[in-house]
Amino acid sequence: MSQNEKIEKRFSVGDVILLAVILLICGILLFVWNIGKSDGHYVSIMVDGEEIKHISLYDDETYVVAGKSVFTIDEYEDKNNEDKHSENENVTIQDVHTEYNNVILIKDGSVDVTDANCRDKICVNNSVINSVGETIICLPHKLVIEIKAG
Amino acid sequence: MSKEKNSVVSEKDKEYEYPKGNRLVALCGVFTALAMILSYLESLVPVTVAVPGVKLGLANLVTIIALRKLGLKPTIIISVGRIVLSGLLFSNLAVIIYSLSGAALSILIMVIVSRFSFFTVIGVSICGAIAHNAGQILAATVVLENMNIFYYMAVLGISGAIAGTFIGILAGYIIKNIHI
Repeated sequence: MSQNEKIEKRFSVGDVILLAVILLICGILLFVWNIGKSDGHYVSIMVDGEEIKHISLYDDETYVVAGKSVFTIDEYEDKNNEDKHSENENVTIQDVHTEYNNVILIKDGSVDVTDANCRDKICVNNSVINSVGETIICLPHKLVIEIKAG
Repeated sequence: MSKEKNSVVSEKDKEYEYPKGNRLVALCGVFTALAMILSYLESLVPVTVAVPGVKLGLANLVTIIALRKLGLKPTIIISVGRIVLSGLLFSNLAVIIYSLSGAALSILIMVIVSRFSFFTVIGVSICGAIAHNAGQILAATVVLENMNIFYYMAVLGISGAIAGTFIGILAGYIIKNIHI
């Protein structure tokens, strides 16, 4: 009885081993899975409820959202120039030429809207987002930018 | 001699008798109420971790003590009663399914583990906590048909081990000092 109470009170060797093994296994699993998933998170860009583009969170790039299209900044400028030179009647290029909506900067695993052509600029003033589930929302353009787990 | 160390059934070896009859019924009621209060208390403390399911598991304290002091059958009744009642009162059917699945696996594992004499209550509690998480994850994968949830298991394993240790230490003191 007295021996039993002694054992009852503190850790046995088995407990410590169990605890160590579980922490070790879970730590390793977490480590391995995190490495495997390091570029798994992506930025989802939704316009008017439709998901129009997936972008990896880890490729540094500037994107331009125009209507329901997303271009990198280079593509956007190319198309703009192209449009000035040739009278191409491609609808998307026309859209691009006439207006852009939002400019999104993805850098070092975080997302920021750096420019927008709306009046209130709420999305521009929104702080930078960098973790899963965070969003930047632009109501005038019905644009939702969300970071999602891969 | 070797058996009389510290398994759930070991109190039997020391001629510990589980309560019977009206006394047992009353104790079951008290334990169920206690477990409900504890899980409600716990829900008042917000835990902001990215992974859902990280919690202290105070209700598991009652399960462990009941397993030791009342035996297996009353423990099952108490757990099911607690889950169904607090599920109906405070949450919904989905939560009841997840909780039942977690509790079933948890009790099963704890009963098995408590037969090994090299674990104290702490080891039993850790196993129970992790089994509870695993049971819920299993139910979630079946319901949501999404294997990605298993990713949570690593985080839940760590949190379960830590929470289980605390609950186990508490349970050790309580089992030693409370005479039913």
